[in-house]
Amino acid sequence: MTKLLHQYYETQPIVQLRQSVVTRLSAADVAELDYLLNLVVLKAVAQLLDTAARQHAISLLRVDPSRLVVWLDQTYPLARMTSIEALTRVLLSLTVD
Amino acid sequence: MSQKKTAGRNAAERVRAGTLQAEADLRQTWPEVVAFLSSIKTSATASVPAVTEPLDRDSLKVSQEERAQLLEQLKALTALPPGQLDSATAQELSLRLQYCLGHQLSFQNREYQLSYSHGSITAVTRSDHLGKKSRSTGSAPDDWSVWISPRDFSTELRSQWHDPWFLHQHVVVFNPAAAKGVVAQIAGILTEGLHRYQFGGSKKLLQTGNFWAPGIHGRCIVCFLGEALPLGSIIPLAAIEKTQ
Repeated sequence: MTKLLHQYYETQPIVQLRQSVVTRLSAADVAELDYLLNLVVLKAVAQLLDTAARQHAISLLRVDPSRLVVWLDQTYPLARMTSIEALTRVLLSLTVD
Repeated sequence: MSQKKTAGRNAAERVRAGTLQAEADLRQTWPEVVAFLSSIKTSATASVPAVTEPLDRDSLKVSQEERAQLLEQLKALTALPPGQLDSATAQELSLRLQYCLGHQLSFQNREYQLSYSHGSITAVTRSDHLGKKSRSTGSAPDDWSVWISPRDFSTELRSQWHDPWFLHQHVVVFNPAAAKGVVAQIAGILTEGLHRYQFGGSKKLLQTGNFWAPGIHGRCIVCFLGEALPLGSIIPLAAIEKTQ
């Protein structure tokens, strides 16, 4: 099965944080969480890309998220760190009671 | 038990609120991606293993579909009148060329770009090129030379004879109709008598790129090459040809 975009940026802390959120959610809400995490990654990446690069990025995303990730790693090395930071921040905000 | 249910409800509400906010933010800067994600949202599941696996680069080979799209884009570009390549499209095409072909290709060289990046190419011999005798650069091997329209050479510069910025640059001259590109070096400007063409090419360059094969009308796209490849190297688009 194709991995979701945000899963290419999962570090161990992110996996743990996500798991702690998932335990409180129904299956439908978990799907919503994954959707949110994809949005978070793309929002972080969007800050680094100009219009033409975004067009290319979405064409890669349409084919396979892994292609976008490889291209970003090669072309915008900062994208990985930015995405991991954004994911961590959002997941932390969801774990606060 | 009731506390657990409340925590779950709170978490779910936060996820939904976060989603709405993220969608709204992203829609302002990148609406296409929100539309795309929304369209596949229903197929997204949480059952994917959360273990991070190394990317299998062999599985990331450029697909035939991507190559076919690139070729169609190049063909469409050559069909346009010269000067019709806007900067956003040029940059998007550069990225696509780099991605599909694996070479450092760009329509820009530092902050400069040619007035024409695509157009018609005609055969130019060294004697044609030496019309302005003192203006010969003489550095590019004749076999793999390409000449650029005088439009890129201002009247002021012509009168002072400063070397134009594009001189000696390595380029790839693409022929989408033959699905190949040839590495060449810019040798100078076209002489005035040839100005209805945007580019001139040495005989060998034109033969290697099949610019004059039947049905091919000498249309080409010129891209700067940011890496050292031997002059005359062919950048094949054979995989694209197979899809035709």
